Amino acid sequence: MTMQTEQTSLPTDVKRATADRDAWPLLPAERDWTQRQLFVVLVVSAVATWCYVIGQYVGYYLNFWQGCATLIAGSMIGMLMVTLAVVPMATRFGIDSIATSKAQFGSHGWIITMFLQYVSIIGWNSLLLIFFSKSAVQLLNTLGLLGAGTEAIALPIFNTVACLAVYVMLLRGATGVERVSKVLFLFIVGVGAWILFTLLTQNAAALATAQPTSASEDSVWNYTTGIEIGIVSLVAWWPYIGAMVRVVPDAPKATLPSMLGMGLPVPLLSVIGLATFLVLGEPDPAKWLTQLGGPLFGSIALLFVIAANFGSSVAGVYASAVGLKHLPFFNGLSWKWTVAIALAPVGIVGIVVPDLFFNNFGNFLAFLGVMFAPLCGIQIVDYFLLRQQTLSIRAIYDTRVGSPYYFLGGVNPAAVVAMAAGFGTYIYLLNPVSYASHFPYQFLTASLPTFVVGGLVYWLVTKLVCIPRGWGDYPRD
Amino acid sequence: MTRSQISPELEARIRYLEDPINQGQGFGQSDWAWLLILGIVGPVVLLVLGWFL
Repeated sequence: MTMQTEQTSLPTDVKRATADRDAWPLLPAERDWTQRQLFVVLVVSAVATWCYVIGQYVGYYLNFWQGCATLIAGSMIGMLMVTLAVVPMATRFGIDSIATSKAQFGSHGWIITMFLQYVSIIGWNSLLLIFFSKSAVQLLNTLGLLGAGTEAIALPIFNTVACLAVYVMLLRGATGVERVSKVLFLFIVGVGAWILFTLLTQNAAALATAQPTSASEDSVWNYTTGIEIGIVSLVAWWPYIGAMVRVVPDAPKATLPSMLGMGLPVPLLSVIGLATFLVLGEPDPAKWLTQLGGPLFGSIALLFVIAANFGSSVAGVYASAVGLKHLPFFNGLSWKWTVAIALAPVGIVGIVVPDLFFNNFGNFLAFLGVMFAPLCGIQIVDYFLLRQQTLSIRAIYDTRVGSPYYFLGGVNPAAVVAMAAGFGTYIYLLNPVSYASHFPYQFLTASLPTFVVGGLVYWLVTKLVCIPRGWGDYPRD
Repeated sequence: MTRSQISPELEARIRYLEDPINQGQGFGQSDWAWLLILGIVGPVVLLVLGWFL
């Protein structure tokens, strides 16, 4: 079997203007973001209203200081898992998260990770744009520009406007992401820090005594649940991170931006939601700030939400669109249509069923842990242990029968079995719908054992089934 | 025998990136140190301290 190819010379110092708008590997000349640029993009992507809701969920179980500790610690652990899973492969070849999964899931089996990415990003972005619209309406109400009772009409209009704005920005691909981030970065960081400082200093006494509303009698369980929420919130970055880090030339330039630009801002901003929820019973600080400093403070808080959510939506839809480009149907489709298809479900959810994700965010978070924790374990074991950091860029894009990553019918059974084992482990340890748990969840969390089981099962099935059959192009010992 | 067409540009990109010299460098020692500190040591210390708060 041979691939029909033509000898072609591609000047390696020439940047193809639209390289970042498809799923092909980026050449070194096209991977020109600096560490600082990546840091800015990741911070803007990470900071959004989902942080408030994450903080709220921790506030159900823990007081303020324990909530802070578990949020930050859990988030950094989760970010480590994602960084190790995706960054080495993505920065080595300039590929996105979906492409990195082809060596583990097979030349057709990667559709599993693409589905997970698509659903996950729809969920996150629906939440963001719903918050965006609600904050925009609230801002106009605060400023006296909207009449009472107009929310039902205004919300879908703002949702549509937000989708259109995201669409326009993404016509420029990664450049659009970077430009939005550059504009919003200082505002987001500055106002975010101001909100955090104001809330903490003005309400220190209330925070010190505020108690969680739904804490279990088992304090260890509560503490572990705080850690679990931190971990799953950050492993949920798996779909996003590849598309971002692939634009820097190597892994060292992505390490600190990933951990400090994506990993740390989420829990820091979640502290706002935690604090507000503990004291006021709701995670949105806008009302609290309005009480402190009148409409001006409230308006600033709302503008912050609008800006932060817009920036994160742009990054999320970009990652989703790049992921879709792996599908044969999208190969020949223009970038503008690909973005439109990536964005359409987000708009539809926001307009037709806006409260669906809103009211079930905790369950959505838990399902992310179910899916992405074992995936991280699989990728880390595969790349570092089984492949010893060898990977074939050609095999990643070769979908022919018998190609190196074809495995069995295009799907790697080790990955499927490992994901199933991880899924079962998580569901046993923590029911993502009811939050009922089983031993030893309270000592281990659900994500960490799932991560380990996913990786371990993958290793076993690969060693016992795939390698003896010559599947997967693994190096010989 | 099955054949499939790959875009000439994608083929050129793959061929270029197959040379290890053109690939991105992996984590260095300092990166591993940062990952260990920020992803494991730091969180563990924080969790131990936080338990007593």
